[in-house]
Amino acid sequence: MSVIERLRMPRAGRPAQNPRTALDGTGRELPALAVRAALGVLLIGLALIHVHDAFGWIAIAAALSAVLSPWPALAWVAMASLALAELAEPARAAAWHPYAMLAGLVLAHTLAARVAVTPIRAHVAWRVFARPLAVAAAVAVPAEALLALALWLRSAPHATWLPAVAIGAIALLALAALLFARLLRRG
Amino acid sequence: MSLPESAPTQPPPRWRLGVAQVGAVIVGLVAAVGGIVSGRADVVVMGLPLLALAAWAWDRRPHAAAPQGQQPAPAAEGALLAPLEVEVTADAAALEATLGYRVRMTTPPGVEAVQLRVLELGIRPRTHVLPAHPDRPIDVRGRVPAPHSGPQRIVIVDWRLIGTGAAVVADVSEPRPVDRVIDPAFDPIGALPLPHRLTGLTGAHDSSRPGDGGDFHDLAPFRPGDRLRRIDWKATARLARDPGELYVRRTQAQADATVFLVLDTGDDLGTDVETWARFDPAGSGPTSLDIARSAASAIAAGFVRVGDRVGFADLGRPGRMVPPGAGTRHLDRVLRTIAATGPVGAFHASRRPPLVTNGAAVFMLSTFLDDRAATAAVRLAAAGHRVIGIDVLPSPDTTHLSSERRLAHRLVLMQRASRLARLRAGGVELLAWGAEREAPGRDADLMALARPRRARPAAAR
Repeated sequence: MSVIERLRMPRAGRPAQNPRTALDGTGRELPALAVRAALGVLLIGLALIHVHDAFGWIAIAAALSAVLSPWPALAWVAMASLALAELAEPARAAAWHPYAMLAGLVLAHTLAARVAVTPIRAHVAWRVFARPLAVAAAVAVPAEALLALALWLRSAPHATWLPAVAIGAIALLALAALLFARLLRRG
Repeated sequence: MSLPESAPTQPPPRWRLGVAQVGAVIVGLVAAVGGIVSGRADVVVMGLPLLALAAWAWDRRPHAAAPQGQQPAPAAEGALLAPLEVEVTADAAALEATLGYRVRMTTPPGVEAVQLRVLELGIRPRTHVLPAHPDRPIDVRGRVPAPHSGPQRIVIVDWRLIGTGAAVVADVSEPRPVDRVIDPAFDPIGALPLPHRLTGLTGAHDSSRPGDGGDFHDLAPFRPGDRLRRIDWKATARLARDPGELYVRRTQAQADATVFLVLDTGDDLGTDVETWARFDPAGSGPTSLDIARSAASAIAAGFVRVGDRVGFADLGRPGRMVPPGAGTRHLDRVLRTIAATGPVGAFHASRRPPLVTNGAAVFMLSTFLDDRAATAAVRLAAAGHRVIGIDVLPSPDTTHLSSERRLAHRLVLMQRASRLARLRAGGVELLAWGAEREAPGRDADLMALARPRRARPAAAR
């Protein structure tokens, strides 16, 4: 289309600058970009714990891709890598990193779930995170206790792999039972 | 004051499984299976919180509305939900050149957040993610600048519901536009350019024929039918040659004028030439249609005020026409029609001139950037109407133009200048109408146009 024809075009529905005016009633907000950046920092920080093995590097690559690309679902690839990276470490109840990893995974999932459904230019109200973070904390605290028990059993001199697996299986069964009981009650 | 825009109840949204739910289940299972296979209970425990969060989110996902006394059914994909109530309103009138709007939304249980997208003036969106609660409706307000008159899209709102834990996510809703018609600012004109021929037996203007009017026309011999009080005794004493010869003083008859406003809605061009090729209501400055609406309203009000008949036609929409009429109620109708006039696009404007009452003066309001309005004006002038072309192209601001566009703009203006010269040659008088509400130069040009034809100078522009 020639320049002259373009000049003659009436309103053509092209995007243009928007006069920014305040929107009342949203409460305090933070940019979605900041939430995405926080997710990236968190995942990379967790991955640095295992930077000496392949799972750590996979987690770093996936975290960077999740934050910088339009595929935030890659954050869960990073989380899976981080969980599996614990296999390369010896189980020690006194070590800090398994507990940090568990808390970090819960927090990363909470952030990634919101990042995955939020446009990058959006503004997110602080209050959106209040309930999810409370639920995440409520889930993470008993899980940390269970983790401490599992690590203690695993690192004890007389321990074999059977009681540890039994704990995991029992926990999974308990979770499944709770879920099904709830679903059955709903009908 | 605000106006409701639509029915409050929304159709149920369609829900889709969120990536967070799938991701949490997969990560949890990978950790559990990996831990069990390798005999590491701590790794199994790593996956448990994610599975628990997924189970919690799934348990609290939005549910369908259920009849009284029955358990609600879970919202599978496409299932019906409890109704979502949304109310989008805007102020009925502009306040300090801004219009307020309000979005009020009640969400069903199981919705954690709402992604609200607002396009102010129908352009670049702003998205807010707001927490949702069934007992606390979302209620946000904003103000939009209203820089133009005429039909304006104040705001477009759409939204997306996010289920608890982002386990399920609804599709984006249908956009909800809020439109308003903003009246132009105008002052009725005082100097009225009249048609070549006045019509009717009464009115506010002196016609060329003798009759019962105000201004002196001539002295004539008394004829049967003349009123005795019109005998001019001094003139009779001076002029009578024979006994019984009487002279009467004749005055000009009164008549009213019929005026037709023809608005070229083919384009709507702002002061900033850079915005001619794109939609930028905030940055365009006063547009040609803003000026045209103000000018048409001022002319209509000026003529109706003295009892003349005013009609209106939209050159872009041939069927949109107000036949000539007089009176306050008719003026309201004309002003409402003018205010509601929007651009139709240069390629849709009609080349055929509208049907105009015999003897009416025609005010053709256009940018004259194409031949459509110019052709119609020349045809109307050729048909014997007095045609006054109101040039509503705003003073161009070319500071933001690239050199190519500046050159193109010059070419367009050169074409326009030759078109205006053809208009003058075709008997069309021209008057420039700027964006300013009060312009002494414009008033002087109007007074020149309002003078009788023999005393009128060359066209104003």
